[in-house]
Amino acid sequence: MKFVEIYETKNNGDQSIVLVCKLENGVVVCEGDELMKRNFDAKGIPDYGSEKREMVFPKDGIRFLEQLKFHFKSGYMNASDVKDDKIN
Amino acid sequence: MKNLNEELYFLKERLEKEQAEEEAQAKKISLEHEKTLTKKDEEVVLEKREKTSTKKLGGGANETVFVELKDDGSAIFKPKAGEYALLRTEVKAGTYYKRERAAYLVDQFLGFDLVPPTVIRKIDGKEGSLQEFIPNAPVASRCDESQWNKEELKKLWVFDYIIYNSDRHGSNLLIKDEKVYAIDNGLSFGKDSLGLFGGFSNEPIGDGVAEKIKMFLSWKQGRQALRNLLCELIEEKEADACLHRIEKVGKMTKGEAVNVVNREKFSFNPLD
Repeated sequence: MKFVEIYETKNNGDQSIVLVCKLENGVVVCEGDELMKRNFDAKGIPDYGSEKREMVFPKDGIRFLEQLKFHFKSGYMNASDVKDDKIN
Repeated sequence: MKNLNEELYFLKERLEKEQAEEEAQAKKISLEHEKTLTKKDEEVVLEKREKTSTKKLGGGANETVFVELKDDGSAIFKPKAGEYALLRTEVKAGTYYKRERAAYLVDQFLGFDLVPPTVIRKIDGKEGSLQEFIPNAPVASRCDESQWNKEELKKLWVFDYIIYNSDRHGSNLLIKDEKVYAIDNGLSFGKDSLGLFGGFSNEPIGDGVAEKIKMFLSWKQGRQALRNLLCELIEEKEADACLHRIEKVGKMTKGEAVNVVNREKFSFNPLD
């Protein structure tokens, strides 16, 4: 299963996972921070690869998943590459 | 005659009071400007203070490193060598870190106080931007909208237009005690489409912001100093375009008809 982890940096520089977004049956299902989940569904994130910077949403599946690491890259919040392991 | 003398007396007194107030204000502005031209203590700490540890952070398209400074907090380091090449078409990789510093300088000269202190420094042999870490400050997308300070966000909107930031969103700004911190400013000053945060419709730019823009525009020495500093970091035409956008905002704040914050008016880029 493909998935992306979103990390938050704590005051001591350690990172904790705040959200895990998994590709299930062609759509992305996120587990973790409720506000972020709601924001994803309501506002989406830009598709940085598209010329017009269209917004992509969890329902867009892998396209959404692949954009997360370009969106979360500040150091305060970072998203992993798309991983492809089994997770519990 | 007595009444006339009294009136003259009070008029003279009022004029003297107004003049004293104007002089005090001019002195205050002059001191503020002088402070801007001098490197802040926080910048010196970031530039010089010994680092005690570094932790490479996982995730994100660009390399980011958490740096602890001896006895003085921590910072986020973004090395030039770790910049992802294809984030934007008009902002080239290898320049993001300089744009982080340029955004900080614009913020300082305008007196907006949005960007945490940011310098350029070599760490472990790599050159990059080093920005003060703001502890206990969640990103906006993790905060309830009731915690957002609308005036701060409007100021950020104006700021992002001025630096032509193509990358502002709810995870590139921090909120702490209603104050906004603008982070991740490396994809600015180019021609890529503008990314602004917040949905404002025909709302006045706050008086404080308008006043700061006005003060900067009347400060000839400051304009030249900012231009010189920006030209060391970004292309000359990008620095000039930034200064033009400040002038444009200055014009927009004059008069009711254009005294609004909306996307249409905030789209002019001299680089186009």
